Amino acid sequence: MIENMLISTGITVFAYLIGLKIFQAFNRNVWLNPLYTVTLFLFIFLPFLHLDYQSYENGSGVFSILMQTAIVSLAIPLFKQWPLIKKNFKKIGMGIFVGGAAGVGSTFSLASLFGIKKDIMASLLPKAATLPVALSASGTLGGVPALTVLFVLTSALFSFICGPKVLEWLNIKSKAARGLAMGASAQALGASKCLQWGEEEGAMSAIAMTTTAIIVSSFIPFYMIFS
Amino acid sequence: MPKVFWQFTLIFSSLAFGNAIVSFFRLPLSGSIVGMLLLFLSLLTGIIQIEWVEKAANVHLQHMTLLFIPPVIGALVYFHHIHMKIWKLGVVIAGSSLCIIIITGYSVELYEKLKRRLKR
Repeated sequence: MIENMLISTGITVFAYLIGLKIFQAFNRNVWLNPLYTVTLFLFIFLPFLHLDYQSYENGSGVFSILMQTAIVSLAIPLFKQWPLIKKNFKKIGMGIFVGGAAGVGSTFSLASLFGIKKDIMASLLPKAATLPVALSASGTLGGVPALTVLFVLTSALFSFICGPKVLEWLNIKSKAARGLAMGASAQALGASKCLQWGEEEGAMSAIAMTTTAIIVSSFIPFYMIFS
Repeated sequence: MPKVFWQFTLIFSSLAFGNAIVSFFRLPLSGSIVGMLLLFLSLLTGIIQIEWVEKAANVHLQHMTLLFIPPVIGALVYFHHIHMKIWKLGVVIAGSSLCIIIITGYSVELYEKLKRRLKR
């Protein structure tokens, strides 16, 4: 078991470091983001290393703890940007509330339109929240956790890839609007993108990510009353 | 190196505190969010100085991509087990993600424009 943990953690970190080196060597080309290259590499080569996915999943538990401490670490950019938040409190609150409501509302109406079953609906609804938050919300609603992981990550990945282009097409230039939109839709992935754009965008996306999580999980009890 | 380790311990304790509060009060929030709010409040009130946690936090935030790799692999594997029309799920996910981006982006930009106009 410990051996399994060391191998899974070691190979992931090792592959990530190489992926990061390649990413930096090619001038940070979007398609060479370590998230794609390393994930694909591991997905294809894990079986060759005599490591099946189940034991890899069991062995890589360290990362889920680090994901939680990473969310706690978001307090630091939040604290650094507190003067900015206080100044723009109404704007941020309004944007996130409207965006969060649109997210839950559109998911609900599209899923009802397609006649998606109740347990899958419950796994879909909290997908706009960050992963750990969505997981606990999905549990309260009676959803399937593994499905929620899939939905949260695919919607984050989709927003991460398409978000910057959509914002460009719509000619949205304001730093706050770009940061908030990316953080609300792509969460931590969006925040990592926005940090590359600039300090204000990064801070706004970190704020959006945390406040969206809080707002989405406060919408959930209403769904439970109506359904 | 040991300094970063102590900083990490401090962040981890915030997480543990957050988890304890969530399970004690049965909150519909996750422990990490409550832990983040706790750390944020401690920073605001000055109980914790930013220098005590900054380094370890930055290491986390810079390499967040690494943390996403195992769950994405897990999700890829799970993909084979869904017995329903995947395109429907794709449309729901893509549609609502676009909704969030467009509505958040537009409403914030509109708000800023209105405010600028009111100031004039």
